[in-house]
Amino acid sequence: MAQSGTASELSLPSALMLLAPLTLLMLAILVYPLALTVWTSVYPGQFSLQAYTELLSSTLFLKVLKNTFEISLSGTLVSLLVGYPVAMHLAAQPPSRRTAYLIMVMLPFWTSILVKSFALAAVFGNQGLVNQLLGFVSGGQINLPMMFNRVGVILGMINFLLPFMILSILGSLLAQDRTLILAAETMGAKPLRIFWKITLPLSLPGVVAGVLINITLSIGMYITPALLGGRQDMMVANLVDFYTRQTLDWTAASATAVVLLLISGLLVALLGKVRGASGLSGAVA
Amino acid sequence: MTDKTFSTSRRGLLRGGAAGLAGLIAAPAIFTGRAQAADKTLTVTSWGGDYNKSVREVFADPFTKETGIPVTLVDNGDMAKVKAQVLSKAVQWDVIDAPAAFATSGARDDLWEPLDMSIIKPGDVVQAGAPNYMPIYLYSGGLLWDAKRHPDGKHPVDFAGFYDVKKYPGRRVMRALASETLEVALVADGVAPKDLYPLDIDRAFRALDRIKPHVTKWTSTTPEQVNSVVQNEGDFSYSYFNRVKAAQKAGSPLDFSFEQTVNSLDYFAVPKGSQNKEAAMRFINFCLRPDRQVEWAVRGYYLPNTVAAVEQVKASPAKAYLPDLTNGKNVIVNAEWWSANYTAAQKRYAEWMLS
Repeated sequence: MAQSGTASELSLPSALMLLAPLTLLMLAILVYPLALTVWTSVYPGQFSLQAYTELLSSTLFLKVLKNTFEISLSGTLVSLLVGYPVAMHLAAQPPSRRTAYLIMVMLPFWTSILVKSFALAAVFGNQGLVNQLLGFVSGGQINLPMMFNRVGVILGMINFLLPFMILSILGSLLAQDRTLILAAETMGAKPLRIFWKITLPLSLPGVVAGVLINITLSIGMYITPALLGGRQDMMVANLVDFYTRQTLDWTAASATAVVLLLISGLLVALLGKVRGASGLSGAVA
Repeated sequence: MTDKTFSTSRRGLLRGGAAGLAGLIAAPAIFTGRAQAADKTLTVTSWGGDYNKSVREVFADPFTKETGIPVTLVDNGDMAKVKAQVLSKAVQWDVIDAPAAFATSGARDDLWEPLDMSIIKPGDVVQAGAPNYMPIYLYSGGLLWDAKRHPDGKHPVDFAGFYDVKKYPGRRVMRALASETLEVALVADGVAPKDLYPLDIDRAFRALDRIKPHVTKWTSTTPEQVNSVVQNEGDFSYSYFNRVKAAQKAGSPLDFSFEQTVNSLDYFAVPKGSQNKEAAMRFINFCLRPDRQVEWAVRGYYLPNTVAAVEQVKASPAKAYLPDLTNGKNVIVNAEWWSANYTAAQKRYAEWMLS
């Protein structure tokens, strides 16, 4: 064993051996299907980029793309506005209570997205709990349409996105040195000033990571817009389904999927650049 | 020494891994091998719930009793899966229960086996089959409403009424699919059912533009077309009588209009490369027998496709639930037209829904 060096250093062959199982798995279940998708999009019998030129000039695709951006950006924004205060509150709790609260934050993960969507429809629908209450309070005057429209999609989406946002912001809040705040207080800074000058800037890597995760997750949403959206809430993933199952045009479906993948990849790269690598490592930590 | 032991066990692990990998790669072959060995079985796609139960009792079980071939029913077999099976040469389904859009798109993509007419001998049929898909029965789509919320006189009974929001105010529910919807729009706009095809798409979309502001719910599945009215998300919807009947049996005060209907054929087809082709052809032939056709029609409120069965059903009490296709008010969907125009029409419809 002496020649393999210290325990912390792996020789190249050993490193390759350790990586081999995961690499094989990834090749088989990620790279191969992806390559197949790209291949299908450019090879309908012979090599051709026609699917892409048709896609980029298709009103349907451009409308759906615009929808997708609008929905995922607004969903992420709501998730950030709702999630940041929650993360701040969590960070202020003693560790034991924080654990209990964190379990509540994680609760949405315990239910399948399908079940959640139907449950949301029961709560926010025309005859749902919220509207029944509003109707009762207002004497039947108020009935808010909150399902099968944009509001429904965003409600369903933030239910799924919030934990990712809260956890990544919480991570960067907890990593902050408490003595900074104590020092600021000693120097006479008011809480609002401390928030603007210390807490918020130091939490930005977590915010960027949360936003990034939220956008990438929401840009590929499929079930939520299909179940809770209206006719105008078709997203790119639904368009892929449309080409795959309704028109059986797998070339167009693959091309759409590849474009979606490129856009998410570009977003990840861009947002990673904005705050440097720290933004991403904040999410991992 | 430790080095040696390590490397042996490592090599052993590798060998084991290689064997495992070989097993994985060989797995599909093992499965197909088994399917071939058990040759005489049949897998038929179906549509869940009551429908699945009816297929089981009217077609599948009697077929097994007569031939000894067990039939497995698989629900919601869509064309994307059929295409994937045919392209990967691992066909697991032998008979596809295919609405017109399935049957014609499958034919376009060359996914069907030609029908073996030496086995399939249906006799006189109402609608003749294509070389690779066989019409089994007709089903009727029409308007439905909640009779408690909208008693007689307060709800439309024909398509013109559905489009007349002044006379019949209420929330409309519409399909996210162009097929049948365009027919309804054109008939509502004054086109006689017999003059529908080829569909005047521009005119249909002009009519659709008028109704659009009054549509509160767009449904992509058949159950939703009924449930949205049951759950009071809409007032007037379009669906199929057998679905409405099922909701009535479950206690919903729904009602359905036979005044004007859109009638579509449902087909059986055999995917290319089916392992049990002969059994599949025998099954299709079996389902076209007059006695099976009568039972199927009476039970599901359908119109049978064999002429002998039509006569019998007309003489039975089930007649009240069948549209009269000769009175000039009912539409019969033209599958050939949709075969050529489905993709373009559906794309335009999806685009129109978004704008």
